[in-house]
Amino acid sequence: MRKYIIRRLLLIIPVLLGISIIIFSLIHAMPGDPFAHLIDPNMTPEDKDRMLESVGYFDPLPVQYLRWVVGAVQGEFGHSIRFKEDVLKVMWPRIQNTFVLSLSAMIFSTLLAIPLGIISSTKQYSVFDYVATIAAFIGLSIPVFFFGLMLIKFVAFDLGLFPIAGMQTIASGYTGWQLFIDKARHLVLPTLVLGLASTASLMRYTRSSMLECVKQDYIRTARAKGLSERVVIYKHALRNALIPVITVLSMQIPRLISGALLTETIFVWPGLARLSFQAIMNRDYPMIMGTVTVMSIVVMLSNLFADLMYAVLDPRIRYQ
Amino acid sequence: MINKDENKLVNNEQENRVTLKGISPWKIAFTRLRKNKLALTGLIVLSILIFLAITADFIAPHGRDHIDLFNINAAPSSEFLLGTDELGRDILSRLIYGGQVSLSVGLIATSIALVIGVTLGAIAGYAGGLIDNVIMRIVDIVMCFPFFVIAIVIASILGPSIWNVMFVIGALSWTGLARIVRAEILTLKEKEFIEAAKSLGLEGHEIITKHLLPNILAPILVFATLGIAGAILVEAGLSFLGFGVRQPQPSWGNMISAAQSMTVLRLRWWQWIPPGFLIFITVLSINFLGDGLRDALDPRLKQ
Amino acid sequence: MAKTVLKIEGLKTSFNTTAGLVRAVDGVSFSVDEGKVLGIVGESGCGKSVTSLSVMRLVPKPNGHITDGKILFEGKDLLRIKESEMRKIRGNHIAMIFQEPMTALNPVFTIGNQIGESLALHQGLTGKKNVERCIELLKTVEIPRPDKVVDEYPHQLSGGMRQRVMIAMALSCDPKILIADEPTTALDVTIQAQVLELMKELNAKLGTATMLITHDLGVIAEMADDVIVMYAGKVVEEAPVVNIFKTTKHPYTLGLLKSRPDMLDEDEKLSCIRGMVPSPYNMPKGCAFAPRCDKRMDICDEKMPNLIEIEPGHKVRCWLFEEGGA
Repeated sequence: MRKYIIRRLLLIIPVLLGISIIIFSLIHAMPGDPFAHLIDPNMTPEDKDRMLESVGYFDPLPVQYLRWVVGAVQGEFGHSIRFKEDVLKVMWPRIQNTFVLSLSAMIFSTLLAIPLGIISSTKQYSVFDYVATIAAFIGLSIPVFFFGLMLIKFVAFDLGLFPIAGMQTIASGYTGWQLFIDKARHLVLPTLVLGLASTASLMRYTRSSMLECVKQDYIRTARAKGLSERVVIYKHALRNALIPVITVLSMQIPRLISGALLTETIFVWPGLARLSFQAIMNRDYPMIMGTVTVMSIVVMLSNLFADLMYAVLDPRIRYQ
Repeated sequence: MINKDENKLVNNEQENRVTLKGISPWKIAFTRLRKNKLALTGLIVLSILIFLAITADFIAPHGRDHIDLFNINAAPSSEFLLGTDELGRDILSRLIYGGQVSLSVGLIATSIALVIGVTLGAIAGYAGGLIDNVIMRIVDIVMCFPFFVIAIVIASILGPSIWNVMFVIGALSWTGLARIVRAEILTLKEKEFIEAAKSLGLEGHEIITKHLLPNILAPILVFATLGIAGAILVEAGLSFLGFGVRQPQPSWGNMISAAQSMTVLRLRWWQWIPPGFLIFITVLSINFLGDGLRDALDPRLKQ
Repeated sequence: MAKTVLKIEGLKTSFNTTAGLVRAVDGVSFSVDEGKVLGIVGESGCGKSVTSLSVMRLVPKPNGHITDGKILFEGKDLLRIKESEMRKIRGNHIAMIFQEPMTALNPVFTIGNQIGESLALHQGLTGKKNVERCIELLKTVEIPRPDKVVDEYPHQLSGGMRQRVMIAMALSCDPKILIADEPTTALDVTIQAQVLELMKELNAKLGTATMLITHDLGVIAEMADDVIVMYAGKVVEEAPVVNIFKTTKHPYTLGLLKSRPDMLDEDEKLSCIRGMVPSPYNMPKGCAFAPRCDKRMDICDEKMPNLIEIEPGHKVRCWLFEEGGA
């Protein structure tokens, strides 16, 4: 088992190198340069070139890439051109914000989707199942940003139930409990929007996984023992059905991070995805590299986590 | 179809197996699909949308880019059924033209993904060994890309145009398909009829195209259908962010971006709700159809 | 005369399928006596498994239904009692062993957990006593290192061992009736013999009435006291095991015997029954076996013969033996 984890962790390295090389080449192929609007317009072109020269702007790309890798390995992601500050330092609060939003969306969708999926499967072809299925399809088919805009208009503006955007009321002077409530209220709509698609697909998945398990021979064995339907479903079937569901659950993480861009944009949520979006707009190369690296690492770790959970839950894999 | 395909309509009990002869699996799938109300509804709605998009030039009440300076931001009226935008262009007409963008991006982007995904997946599954390893690492890399970030970077390198949007989406969404095709081929490779084909001396590419691919057509078809829905959503998202289809060409996504202005969002529903609703209806129809196809072709694939 | 534990009268079970209603079991009657082994034999699709599931009231829902008949267990009709009462009988008084030991055990629970479940449910055994009894049961079915196996998972055991676990599970509450549905079919030949030997020993020791379902006449010869032969949902021949092999009556039973090399005399040729089991959607009007029968007469296509007793204890459903035929 330990060997397996180490092998998987080692496998992250080539993938990470591949990603960073591709991103690095891509972003340097983008038109425009990051200093265009940072440099004093009175500066002569010669002065400008000299300045760029000093930061290594004209070095061949492989040299620049190597410089980046050497730094990154030591935890040095360089200085943001835009923020004029250390990349990690700028990223850290944004990472926390994205983490809060993603975690909240994930908890929301898990708590909603798994019970709904189970009930749907035990009452296959019932009205409940039908309604839940249609609802899941609707959730999968609404563009996230459109759903977000609708919530902002109808729930936030027209009904005034929740704040329109941001993470907390600016200059409110809230402290302690009040501050917590204020932040929680700001979190509700973004959570709904970000969690919508995952909820829908997770529910569908739980349902079909349960239906698959209920067909298995061991369910017949359990019934033949005289166990009640509740034990048969919630012990024997559910325990098996949850194994693939856990995998799907952790596969939602990349989706949450990617979907976060639209959600963060609409709700002006100062998260990592929006930071990387701004970095691309500003051609802030070190910042783009930093954010993409963080996102990729999170995705790969969540894949690894999925496989480990699989092993924990499934004795057939655990004992290999 | 004249063949000896036997399809087993099995009820839950293995002892009660019945063999029906001479019905091809595709025919059975078609019968099943026809019974699926949701899939059928999806198909009908989709046909209407496609019809509207194709005949846009004849059906649209106003020109796509026709500007009416006397009716800027006009609310819906008998002349402009869904009102006008901030330049005085007819929303309804732009919606009809926007359908051309969404549907063609969905189709072509998915075709690109199909070509890349099926080719790489088939090669990886059939060849195995080092080639398989290299291809699967590439799949890993592309799967780990933060989708929108990369899409935006590529879109800004290529510049905004409908063709580039198709390319970007296609180039980033083939990984799932490659994995499915590889897995299916790995299982099929062990089957006797492939051994038979090999012992007859067929070449690798002949075995792949003549014997393996026809057998995995069902999952590919299902994936492609659902992929179109996904591609339409991504196009809308990219256009909404300003990295997809650019004005004056209308796309449902870039029409919604009008709602990034608080005034439009609050007071001019007709400028952003109809395009959003159309994306929703289109994607919903495709999803219903795709799910119906999955049920009809192979209930095993259901996830 | 041994006490009758289970008596089935006119059992009919059918399934709704996309192509129509299928009568899987069509008016089956038989009884099982204490300490005896009743063998039920027939090709796949003849309704023998559905019969056993009907006794447990475990016919797959929502498509399967028991439409008629009585299942009398110690005089009580199991088809008339509540589901909650039935649950007290399942696994307790009537236990079942299934065909596929590979898939019949839940992969995510330990052996001890799965056997102990019955013990806790029906006998209220918990904690250490439960584990001890599990180990004891594993010992009874001759599993080596039972104290280790109790904490292992199904995938760690071989097929034969798993089937032993299934038997231990079935015997855990000292059932009155054991239903074994093709218990050895999925096993290797040598393992088959071992498991059969074990079942025979246990039957002799515990005296549990057993319903043994199989397509294998060898197993029947080895194990059964009485035999019923089923074809297309109906009993076609019923007799003590000796009569089935020595004074075979029904052409179908004869066909089954002749398709086994070890059942033939030296100079006899191995043969097979031609054709296939008729589709349940398209049952012949008369005798269901007529299209495949060597001794078919005109009346066979017209009317289904009755099951009549031609010798004491030997019943057969064939026009060759019924008045009005031939």
